[in-house]
Amino acid sequence: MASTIVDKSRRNDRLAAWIIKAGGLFVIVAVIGILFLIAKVSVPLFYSATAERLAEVPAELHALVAEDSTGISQSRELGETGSIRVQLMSGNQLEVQRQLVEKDILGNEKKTGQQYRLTDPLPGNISTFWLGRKGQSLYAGTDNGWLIRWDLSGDGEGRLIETVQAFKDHRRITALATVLGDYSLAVGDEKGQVTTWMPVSKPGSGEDKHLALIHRLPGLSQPVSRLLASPRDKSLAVFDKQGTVKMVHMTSERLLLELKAGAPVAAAVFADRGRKLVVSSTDGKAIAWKLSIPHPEVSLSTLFGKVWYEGYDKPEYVWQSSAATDDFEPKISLMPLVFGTFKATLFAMLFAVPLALLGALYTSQFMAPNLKGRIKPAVEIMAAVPSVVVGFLAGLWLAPLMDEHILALFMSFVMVPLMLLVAIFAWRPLAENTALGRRLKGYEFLGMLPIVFVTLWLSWKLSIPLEAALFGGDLKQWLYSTLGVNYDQRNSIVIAVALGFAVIPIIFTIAEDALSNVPRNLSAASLALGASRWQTAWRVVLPSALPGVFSAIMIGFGRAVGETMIVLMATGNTPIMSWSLFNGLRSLSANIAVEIPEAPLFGTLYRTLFLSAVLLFMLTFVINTAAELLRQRFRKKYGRY
Amino acid sequence: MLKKSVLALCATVCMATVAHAEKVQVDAKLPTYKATSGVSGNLSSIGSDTLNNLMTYWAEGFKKKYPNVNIQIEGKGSSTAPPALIAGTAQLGPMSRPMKGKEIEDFEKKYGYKPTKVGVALDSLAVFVNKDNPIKSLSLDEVDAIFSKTRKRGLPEITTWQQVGVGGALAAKPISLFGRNSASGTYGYFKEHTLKNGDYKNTVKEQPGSASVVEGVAKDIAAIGYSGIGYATSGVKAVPLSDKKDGTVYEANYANVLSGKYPLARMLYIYVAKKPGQPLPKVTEEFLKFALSKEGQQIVVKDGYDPLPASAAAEQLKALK
Repeated sequence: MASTIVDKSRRNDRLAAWIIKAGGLFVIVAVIGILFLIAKVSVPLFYSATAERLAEVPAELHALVAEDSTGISQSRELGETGSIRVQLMSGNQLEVQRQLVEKDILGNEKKTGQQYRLTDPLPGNISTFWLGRKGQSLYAGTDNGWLIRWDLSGDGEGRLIETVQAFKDHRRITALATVLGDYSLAVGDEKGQVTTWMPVSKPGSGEDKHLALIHRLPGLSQPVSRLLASPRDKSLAVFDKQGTVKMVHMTSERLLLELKAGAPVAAAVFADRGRKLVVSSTDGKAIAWKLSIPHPEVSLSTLFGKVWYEGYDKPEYVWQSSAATDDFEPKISLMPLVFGTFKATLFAMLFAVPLALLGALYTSQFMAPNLKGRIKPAVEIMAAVPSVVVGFLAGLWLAPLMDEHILALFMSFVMVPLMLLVAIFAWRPLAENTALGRRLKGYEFLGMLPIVFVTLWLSWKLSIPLEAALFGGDLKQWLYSTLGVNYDQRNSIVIAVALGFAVIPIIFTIAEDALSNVPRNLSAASLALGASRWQTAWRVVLPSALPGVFSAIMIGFGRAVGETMIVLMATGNTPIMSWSLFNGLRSLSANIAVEIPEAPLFGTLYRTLFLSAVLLFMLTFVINTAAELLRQRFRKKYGRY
Repeated sequence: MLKKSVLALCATVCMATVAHAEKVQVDAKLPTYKATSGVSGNLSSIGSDTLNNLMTYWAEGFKKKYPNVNIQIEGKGSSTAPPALIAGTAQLGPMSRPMKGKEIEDFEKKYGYKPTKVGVALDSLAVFVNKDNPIKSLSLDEVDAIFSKTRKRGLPEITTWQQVGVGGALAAKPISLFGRNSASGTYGYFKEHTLKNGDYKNTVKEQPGSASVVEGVAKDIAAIGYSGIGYATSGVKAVPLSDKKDGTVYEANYANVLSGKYPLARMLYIYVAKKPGQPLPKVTEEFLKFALSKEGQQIVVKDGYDPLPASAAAEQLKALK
């Protein structure tokens, strides 16, 4: 009889072990599966481009490429307002012809013509020129490496803006074209190099902007004979005399594709909104490719490096992913988001860890057991508050409140601990020598509460005259005008407090469990040997429970890294890279929540957001693994509880 | 949850706008809406947050005419409309900006024809400051210098209020910036027209809805923000604007919007998938007709936006033929 019971329970044990193992395995498989699914969406970002040569070139593409003529004259249709045409005349001069059409309210058209030559003295012979797509600017390159820029946007005659010596070695500039958006100028030269230039204001030169070299793109081995800008994005097709075509992208500086036309190219044009490239060779034969370039703007350097974007004065990490127009240069640096995630986590942990750990130590070692039985569940209920509620309160209630009483807050950071210390020193003789003191042992905490509140009230009251005396009545203004620090209403302090509120219960409850589980005989032995209660707690209990305490912190850390709603609602989601306490941040998780609904399915932004999810996953994975390894070491070193 | 809280805010906001809106009169020549028979079914609308309240009011009015119609409205930003139309999860795609080339292309890839754009109301995008801010007017050049880090309009950077001529206690205060999230058409429109396609400063606090922009500005004396005029509350005021610095300043009122003098006036749209030569599903068509009727445009006024004149409404109805 007895042996059957033993057999039965052994069988049950084995069964339970199997179920637990299977469950654990299932969790691991599920987590890896999720990672795999997310990664699968983001991987196509790095697929290389392909081109498929069309077997037959349709007639309309033939007609399109026949229209392309970049010889000694270029013209642009300017919609309803007319047209403009520039021609290279003998004598190294450019001639501008402009047709203006003005419509009045009744629909009557008035046409005016304008024709003039640009007679500015030039540093060399014009070897090539380019009229901007919007007819607003005119560029010329010379045979000795100079770039010349005119402004044609006003009503009068064109104005020479600048001449720039682009290349010191006097190389011949052989091809020019503006990249989509008409802001950057691509320059091809006889050495086969392709560079892009744009007007940049240099420090010290005031508001004047001068052409500067921004990107060096993958070039050719032969002189560049022609540059063609894609109408779809910031890509360029680069041609040489032998019929080699390279597709390159400006922002990512990537070589996308290399194509061979097999014969010298006479004319080339993009069709089908940049999805087809048609070229015709000098013998009149046309070749067309269907291009498939999924995500040209993505490269490791655009995702994680500093990039010099159009209109910026220096290379920067920027996240600004979308705009209402197509000629926008997407800025998808993940660095500000990673930075924001770490900043939020760090500040939250700085706020939460001391409070939660010291709270746990007190609760487990010093508090009266029946009071502990109430406090612990109460703190655990804190964890059940939905994070959206915390975020909402933080953004709409705490942030304006803090805005008004910022000095009071800082003072309370100093005054509350100080007053508590004073109170403790005052209480000590009473605690040991009076009956009341002995009876209140384990309930001291209740006596602290009024002191905390009184101190908070006191620091609020004191802060008003103090602010008036020291900071001219307005600390934020003082910060801005003397220290140059901008105080933002939605700042990192709000995040630290709100995120800390979410993290504290987790750290507290796990750490408290770990500390309470240290066997009584250890602390009893320590006390019996004459150690004080504090010495026992700090030197005996805490080291024994260190692995558990460490797990508590790491789990809190993991929660803070991934927390979305609080960060989303309590910050302004400003992708700033600054450690200042007084401005906001944008975290990876909040960014995904903000932008995923707008992201076109399987577009670059969509996949980049998934990539940032992978990154977030990896971050927490790496941190947790490191933490677990550390915990194992602690366990070996300090104890088994 | 987020949406609900934003909606709750909207409710208070909308009450306040009624007073502002009473002044505008709907064009008497607009057709009155006649209910027809056989209209029932489900309608789903996903898109602009700017149009969110308006769509809700229209849906309410429409449901009164046709109790058998179910309408669901979701407004997270104009950029959510094209994906929803393409995926077929919505029949109506309200947008506060026209579709981009790429969005039209994606739409065409799925359906084989272009989306149909129906203008349903006029909006003057307003630049809001706190009600206690004494500023009289701003030019778009200055607004660009406040909001943009690329400053394509060419003025030097503006960071404090005294740089735009505000005196007193506010003068030395740094300007606190509020804006919309990038899904919103308002974000795109403002970027295109005020910033000349430049980039926003990193310090612009991106809010998930127009109501939270206005709420943020109302709570912060040194703040400036932009959103559709329909979200104005008593805590903020819309600054009269001029295009160029020292140019003529225009208030964001109906007359200036109609005459095209207010520099940030725009049309609000509803996009639908309509196969050329075939009529729209009856519910969708009737909804658009309702929106463009006298009643529908009265709702526009009630929500604080500007109604279309009769001729423009008739022009938009032609797109449904």
